[in-house]
Amino acid sequence: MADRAYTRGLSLPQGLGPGAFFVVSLAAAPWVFNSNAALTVLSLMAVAVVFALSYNILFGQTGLLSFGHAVYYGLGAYFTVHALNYFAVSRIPYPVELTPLLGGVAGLFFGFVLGVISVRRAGLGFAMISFGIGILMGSLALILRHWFGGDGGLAGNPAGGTHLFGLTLTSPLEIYYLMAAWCVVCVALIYFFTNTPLGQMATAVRDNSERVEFMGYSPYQIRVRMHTLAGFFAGVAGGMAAITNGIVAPDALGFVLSGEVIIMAYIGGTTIFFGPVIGAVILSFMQIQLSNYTNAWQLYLGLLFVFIVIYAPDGIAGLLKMHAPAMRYRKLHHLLPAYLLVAVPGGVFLLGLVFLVQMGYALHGAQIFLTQSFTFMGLAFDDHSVWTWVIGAAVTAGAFLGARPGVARARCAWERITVEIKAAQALASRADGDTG
Amino acid sequence: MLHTTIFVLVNGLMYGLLLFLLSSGLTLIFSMMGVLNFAQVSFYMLGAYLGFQLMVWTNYWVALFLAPLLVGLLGAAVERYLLNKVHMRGQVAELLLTFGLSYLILEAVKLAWGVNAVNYGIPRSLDFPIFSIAGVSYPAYNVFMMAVAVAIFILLYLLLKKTRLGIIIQAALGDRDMVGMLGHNIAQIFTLVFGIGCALAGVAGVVGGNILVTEPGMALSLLPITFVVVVIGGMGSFTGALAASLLIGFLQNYMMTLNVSLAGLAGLSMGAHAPFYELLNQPLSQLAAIMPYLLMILILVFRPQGLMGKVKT
Amino acid sequence: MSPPALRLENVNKRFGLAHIIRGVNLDVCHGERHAIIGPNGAGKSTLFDLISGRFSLSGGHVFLHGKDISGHSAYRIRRSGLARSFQVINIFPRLTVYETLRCALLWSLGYRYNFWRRIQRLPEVGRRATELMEIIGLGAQRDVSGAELSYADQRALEIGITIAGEPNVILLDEPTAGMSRAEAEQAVQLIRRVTAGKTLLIVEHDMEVVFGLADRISVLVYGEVIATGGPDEIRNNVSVRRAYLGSTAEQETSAHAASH
Repeated sequence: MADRAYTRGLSLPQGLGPGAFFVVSLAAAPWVFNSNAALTVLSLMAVAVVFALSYNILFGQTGLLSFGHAVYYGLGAYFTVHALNYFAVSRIPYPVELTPLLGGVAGLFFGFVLGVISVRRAGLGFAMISFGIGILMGSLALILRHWFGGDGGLAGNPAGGTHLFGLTLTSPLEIYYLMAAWCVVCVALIYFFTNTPLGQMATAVRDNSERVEFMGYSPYQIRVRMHTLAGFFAGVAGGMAAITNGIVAPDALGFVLSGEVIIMAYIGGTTIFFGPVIGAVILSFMQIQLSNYTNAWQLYLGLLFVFIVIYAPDGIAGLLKMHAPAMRYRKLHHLLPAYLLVAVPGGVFLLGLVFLVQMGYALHGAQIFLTQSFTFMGLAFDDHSVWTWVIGAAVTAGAFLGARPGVARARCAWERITVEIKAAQALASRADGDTG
Repeated sequence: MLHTTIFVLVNGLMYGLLLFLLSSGLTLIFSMMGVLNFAQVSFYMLGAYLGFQLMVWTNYWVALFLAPLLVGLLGAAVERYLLNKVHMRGQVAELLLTFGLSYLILEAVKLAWGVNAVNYGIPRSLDFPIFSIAGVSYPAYNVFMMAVAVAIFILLYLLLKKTRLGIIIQAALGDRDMVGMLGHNIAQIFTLVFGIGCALAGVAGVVGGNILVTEPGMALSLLPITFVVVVIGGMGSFTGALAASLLIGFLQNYMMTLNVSLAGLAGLSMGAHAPFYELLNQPLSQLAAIMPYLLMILILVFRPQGLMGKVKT
Repeated sequence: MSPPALRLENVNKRFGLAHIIRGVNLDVCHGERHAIIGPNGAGKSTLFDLISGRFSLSGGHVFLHGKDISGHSAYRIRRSGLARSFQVINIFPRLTVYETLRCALLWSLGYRYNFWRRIQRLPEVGRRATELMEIIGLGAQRDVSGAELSYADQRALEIGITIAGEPNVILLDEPTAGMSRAEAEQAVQLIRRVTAGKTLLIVEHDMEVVFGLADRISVLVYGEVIATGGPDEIRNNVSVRRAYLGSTAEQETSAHAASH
């Protein structure tokens, strides 16, 4: 089962595989993406990874669905910027490289104080309360213009002040490696905490908080502690963002960001430790890259999210993990023909959908910007003609229907290999019994 | 002074009833199905936009009838084809689905009507001042809005407490298998309830969209306050929602008339570098917008089940 | 004389107008195996909920080793050494057997809310969990998650969670519910083994189990204890026969018919 990986104390070699891959790709990324803009994007991805994992401490591990997690991120970012500005002029030799830690402390403090109030209830109650607290803090940030810098936010210069290891933090490459280092430390710590007594009890609270009480634990106390930990790492992520961007505005506490972190974690997969990492990378990519090409990227994101909620509750990581047994028993090739049968019409369907949506936006944009014509994949289409719409819709709908036989076949193939794998497992365990 | 009091009372009543109108569908769906519909205000937004569009094509009264119907049908379709697929996975999955839905509706609205506010006006037949206080005159339309809110409260109350359908629905909550055996199809009842709840949001949209403003940001700006109403009132309680709406309406309008700060009230004078200087020296009128959230926190600390919520044993 | 392991004094519970538990008095001595029997709806599970802190008392007192625990939260009562199982399976669907037992052991081994030690590095936790797993006969299901266990195995895990960490007073709520005869016999042996030397309070419908296991029996009817005594006393008690035992077969069949 995919979902067990989160709770099971993974033995180190198992955990080391993805971990090593993660560290190596972080270290190697600048060789592939070496422009300054790309390096900043990579730094923000590292921030998003920490933020998404901090969120999953609440959601995936403790079962608390928060709609206000950006509060701790934003406060962490603000405290870091204030610290940067303070240390730039004071004589205290606190190194800039360690300021995200101060953001973390701020997150920890508010995570504890607001956690004491908000985790009195779990489930929907907590969802609504965290939402209310998020809006409250977001509004306060706009009202307290002096401390939060008003709409424009506050700037802080990471290049000033004292530095460690001879760094200057003037180049995007230096900043990227600093962020990557923080990211690795945080991921390792968060992973460590999942395997401590508190981390284990949190998964028990998620599964059945009532029974936990009859084990001698107070679910409330566990939730408060997990909320505090999540606040700490969100604060660190905020501090990292403050250094990368050199500026922080009140929307860092706002609902839009709180919503995004839910989507990141969920699309990636909340039941698997590395799931949110995948989600963070995908969402950062869409946000930064896709938004250059289309205004509709949030629509695509919403569609992806709804699809995942309904059909793949363990997220992309869950889908990958689902195929692990098939891979181990060399059955993957049984699935490929069916997958191809889905992929071809499915791809046409997705293209058709994108075509229709983009044409809709173009039609709308034409009223405002008077753009010339609508182009899709290098071809020009007449978005004012009814026929373009009818044909586009027909192809899309046809492709949707065309994918159905493939889906049915894939389901059959799955059933077949599931049976085969079960049989192989039974055989293997009997062999074990004979020898042992 | 008397003028201020009446001003606060009238505005508070108006705003409070508008809040109730907004949260009634949310409360209905939550109390009947246990679903917290994050997209409730998105359906409200859709109602406002459809109301605007139908008013352009026909007239206000057709819009008032048709727009909620369309929104209700969409809601029923959402329940039938999406929501009930995750029903077995519980309340959090349902909440996440409606959360995703709110993105889709927002993008669809932007796609159809653009990112700017539309000019959704008050129907001419109700656009006359009906009374005025201290030089501020109130259009008849606002009184109409209040009447709609009161009518909805009474209708819902009767529907749930006095009719057969209401009794069946409440039984469905208690024991689904049981009612299923009695021959009432629970799946259909849930679709119906969700549809009605969304239609209520549609009514609120048509009636409230032209009092407030009809733009893509309207959903997100009203979502938190409707949640606060539901939490303060006690999740799933109609009378609680009404009481909380009015309480927030009055308090917020009262605070807006206050020009004194917290520090001023306490008789403190403090230097600009004292901690919390900024917060304590804000005029209360500035803090009116965050008052409902503070109230929510107070309620949570001192009365976690809300004003009229049931205590769990 | 030392106080009884568990003492109920005039315990009452009302839900609104319904008076479910009506002044129950009960003493359970150290090391005693005490069974509570009674018809459906007599309030047996409610009584367990009151003792273990799941519900609050409407009146009366509960003493554990002479200490008043009335009004204490469930986790405080568990920390004082009273553990319970549930009639309806109440385990952790996504945790494996091993993880579940480890969680059940943590508090009593003193790790509380520790977040600086790897759980795999706590040798005692691992050893005790493995031991417990063997005792309840789930050694082969170490890495199977709660939701995937068979019903009888879920029941065994239910008992495993309850006895983890050496509680000295154990409440078992229908541990053999829904089991076949053979499974029930195994369960009884398990219960005998794990509760040796402990105080046991058990609710059970299976009379064979009750009379084979219990030192003393109390009969609960409509929220009142109508008789307490040794197995023979109870078997021969006229009012018990009238109120309960004599009509059991009849009730079972009628209950069976009603559920169809």
